[in-house]
Amino acid sequence: MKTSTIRTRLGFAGLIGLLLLAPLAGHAADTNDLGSPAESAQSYSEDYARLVDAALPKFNAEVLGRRLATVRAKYPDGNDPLRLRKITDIEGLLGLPHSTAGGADFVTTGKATYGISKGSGRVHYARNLEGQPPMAFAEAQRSQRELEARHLDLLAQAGIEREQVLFAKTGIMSLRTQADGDSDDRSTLAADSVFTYALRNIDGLQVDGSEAKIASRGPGDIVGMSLRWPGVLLHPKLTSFKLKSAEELKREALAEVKRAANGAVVNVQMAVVLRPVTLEGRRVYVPSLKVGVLPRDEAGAMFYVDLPQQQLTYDDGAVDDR
Amino acid sequence: MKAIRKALLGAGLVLAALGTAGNALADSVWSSAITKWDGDCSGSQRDWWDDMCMAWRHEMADRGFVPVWHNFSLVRVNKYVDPSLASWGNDNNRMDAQDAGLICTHGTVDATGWAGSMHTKDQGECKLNVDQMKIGKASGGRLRFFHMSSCQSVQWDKRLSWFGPAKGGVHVIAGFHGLMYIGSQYVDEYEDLAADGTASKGVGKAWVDNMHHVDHWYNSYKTICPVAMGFGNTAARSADVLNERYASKWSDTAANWTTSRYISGCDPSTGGGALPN
Repeated sequence: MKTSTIRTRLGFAGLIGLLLLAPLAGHAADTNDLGSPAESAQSYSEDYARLVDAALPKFNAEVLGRRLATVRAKYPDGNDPLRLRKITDIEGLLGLPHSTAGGADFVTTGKATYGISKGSGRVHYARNLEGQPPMAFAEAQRSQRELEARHLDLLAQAGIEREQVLFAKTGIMSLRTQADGDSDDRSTLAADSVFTYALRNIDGLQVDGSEAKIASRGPGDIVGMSLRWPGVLLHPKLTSFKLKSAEELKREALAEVKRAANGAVVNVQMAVVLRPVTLEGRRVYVPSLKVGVLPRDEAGAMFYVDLPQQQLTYDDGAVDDR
Repeated sequence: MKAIRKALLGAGLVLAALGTAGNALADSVWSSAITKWDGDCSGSQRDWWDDMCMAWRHEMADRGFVPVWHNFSLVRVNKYVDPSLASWGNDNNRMDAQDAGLICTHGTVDATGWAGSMHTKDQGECKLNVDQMKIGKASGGRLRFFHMSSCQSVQWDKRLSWFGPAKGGVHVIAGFHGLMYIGSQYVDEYEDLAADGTASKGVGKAWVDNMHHVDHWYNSYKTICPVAMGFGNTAARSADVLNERYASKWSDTAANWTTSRYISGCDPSTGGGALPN
């Protein structure tokens, strides 16, 4: 099993990485106390109690509680930096002519479709690529660094400043074509696009489910964009930032880990996150311990344990059966 | 609590759409999901899998497609097997009678290419294999898009085995290289797949763009590696068909070529090595 360790980007992400590593220090300089120690990612076992023990982030509950209280105080009405509020904002960002063709929350012109999803607030853009030749793969490789810089600049213009980015990675979306019976040696390789993928943090805390994706076929030629960067408001009924003890968290996590693992050899990973839930029809966030149960040979399971001692009510996002 | 609710609702089914099986009356979509393997086939419980499947199905329904779903104990192998390959196969009246299908279940790579876990044994089988499938108009059905929310369902080294099912005429087949994960945070991705694949981009592109993500643990991370395959009578067609949307209804062509769309070098961490360039 190979585990990807963080490949921190030079420049802004490097700075962000250092910022992330600093606040809850007290352990090795390269370990973030909000997540499982890196070495735990290599550990597979049927001894679930030992796995949970090893994976529990080493944060100090009082320090983290104060940090969460600071987030609440700093963003009493929520953190909502995205500047794209309406269709014309997307058109302005991407240099598109104004159009009204489409529906209530989207525009479709034949050349492109874009909009802001009513329910989720996701900002999306896709250029219609039907019948258009792909990029040469070598060109995608050559332009990758330049396009990454352009993508990050575009994100900043959209309101996603660099300090909000927990993790960013730029890569190539490949297209490999071959005839029936041909091996990969006889296939042809092209690039659909060069894309940048970014995850979000607020003051070092990962915002679960919040991500940005931008794809280009060349400088100034954006072919896709998806921004899930909603306003983040801590659960308004959260009045106490006293967090559960390590023992309590381990007990709650262990019960679910046992159930999900089902007797198999697994790996367990954990991270402190701000988790989106629904309260009275709007999205709010609960400080949570995200737990991953990662088997070797079947689909893993992710679940959450609320961090606050205070009991909170919310809708966890289960889809209504119909 | 969630698990109990799912067990009680295990027999979700829209009868109205079944009447259209095999007929081009209304555009329809099929989904199958298992959360608890409490029949005579085995698998670890994953409570959120049907929510992921349902998010896609509901969004497709909201966009005008008739939804058909066979979940939980109704997930049995005959519904996905083509009668030309096994006499008891009934896919042309089930999944292959719709325009698009999504199956959410445990999977693993095997000699045929992929084995998907069923809930309950049927014809003595708990697994659906690649070589039992032939999907699309040329094989008596009409499926144009087949997606699998299932581990190793389009495993790189075995992906060309999907030429077999594609000979039935399906346009796009999509799945994962390596392992993937089940949880509430993935539900939105399936809704976005339906929204994007209907309104703004091809299904093959919407699959890879929406299903790729990084699960980050601050000190390490794991990557999910979706792969979509377009099929066509020429190289150009197999690439372009990745732009076909759910409602576009491009013409059917022979599956002589395929184009795989994937993230260069994507490393799923578990269940498969890094993808090539």
